[in-house]
Amino acid sequence: MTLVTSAPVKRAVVQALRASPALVSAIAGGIHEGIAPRKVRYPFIVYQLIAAPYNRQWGGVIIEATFDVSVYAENPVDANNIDALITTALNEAVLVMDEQDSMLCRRVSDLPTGPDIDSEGKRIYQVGGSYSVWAHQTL
Amino acid sequence: MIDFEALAAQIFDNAVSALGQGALLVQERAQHLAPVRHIFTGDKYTIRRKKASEIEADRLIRAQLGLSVEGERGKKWPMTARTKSPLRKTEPGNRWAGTFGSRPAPRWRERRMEVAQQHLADYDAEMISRKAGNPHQPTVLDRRGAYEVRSKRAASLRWGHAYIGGGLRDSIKAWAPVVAGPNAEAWVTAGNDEIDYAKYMEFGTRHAAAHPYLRPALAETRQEIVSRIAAAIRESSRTGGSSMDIEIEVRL
Repeated sequence: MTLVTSAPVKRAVVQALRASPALVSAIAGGIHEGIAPRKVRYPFIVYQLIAAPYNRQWGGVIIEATFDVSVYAENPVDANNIDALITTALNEAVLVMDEQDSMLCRRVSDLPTGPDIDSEGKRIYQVGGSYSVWAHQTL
Repeated sequence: MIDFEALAAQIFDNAVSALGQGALLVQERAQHLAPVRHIFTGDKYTIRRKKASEIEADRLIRAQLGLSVEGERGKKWPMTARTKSPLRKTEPGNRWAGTFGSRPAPRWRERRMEVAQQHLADYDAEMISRKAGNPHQPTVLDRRGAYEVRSKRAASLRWGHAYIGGGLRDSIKAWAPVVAGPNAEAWVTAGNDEIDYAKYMEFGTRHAAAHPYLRPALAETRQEIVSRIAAAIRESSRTGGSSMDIEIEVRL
């Protein structure tokens, strides 16, 4: 079989976020990878793949991916509430992936980030966490 | 007879030593992954100094063309096999006075900074020219690079030499393992008083995407660290204080 990369894992994480109606209604600015465009409304979510080393086993490979998922909001209460919704959506979730089996999806740490000032001079709160996602593929 | 306490102490010491080696592995990998900001326009330009051998190779050609010795604007050295400075070391105005030998000291650090400052001056002159309505001319430094050089954030010291760029990379450091009772831990840190943006590069901000370098380094070297610690434990348990073979299985 062909080796599948971490792209389906990334897709599955976004699908899991979008599958939560409460979360989707809470974010006005949508979900973005890496960085959000300048004009996006708050609050919004930014996710990024941090590392995805391949752990090769007999007969298969496990991708041990780590994601950062952060919320950017104009007040800390919104930021923490949405972060809690993200945790509910992703922690211990069974992700749906093509050709891969979801083994683990767990929040492993909070991000030590603080408030920031955006280009319009507004104080922006960044709250989020790191998630460990393991996916197994039989080769 | 086996002295189990001595054996355990040796196993622990070797494991701590392997942990320290693992921290160095993470440091090396993180330095490889750490983002080094490109401050020059274009992709391939960088400040590169010729090697001494290259300068020597060009010396004769430059003399034939009537050019000065590289790195010494306006000075022409006699092209003899044994080059002697035309200025006496004790002569007033000789900036090489007091240096060892007859040839001037290279002053690599100052030269690198002088080059950066020259590029900054060129950039400022070009900006004034553009404001006056003149057509745009390319500059070596881009806008970000000019800011970095002006604020001295671009300059970093490594092994006593000045470099342009790479401050974050050079601030990554593996600390010696610290033993606290039955536990040992080793830290790899990034940033210092001058490099205060290490966290923002790792986690990102509203304005800039994250460029993680510490956590990927740990993720990529984790298996190697575990293997080294396991090998150190196996080796010390095999040779430590007895002729008996002891099998220890490591699961981390």
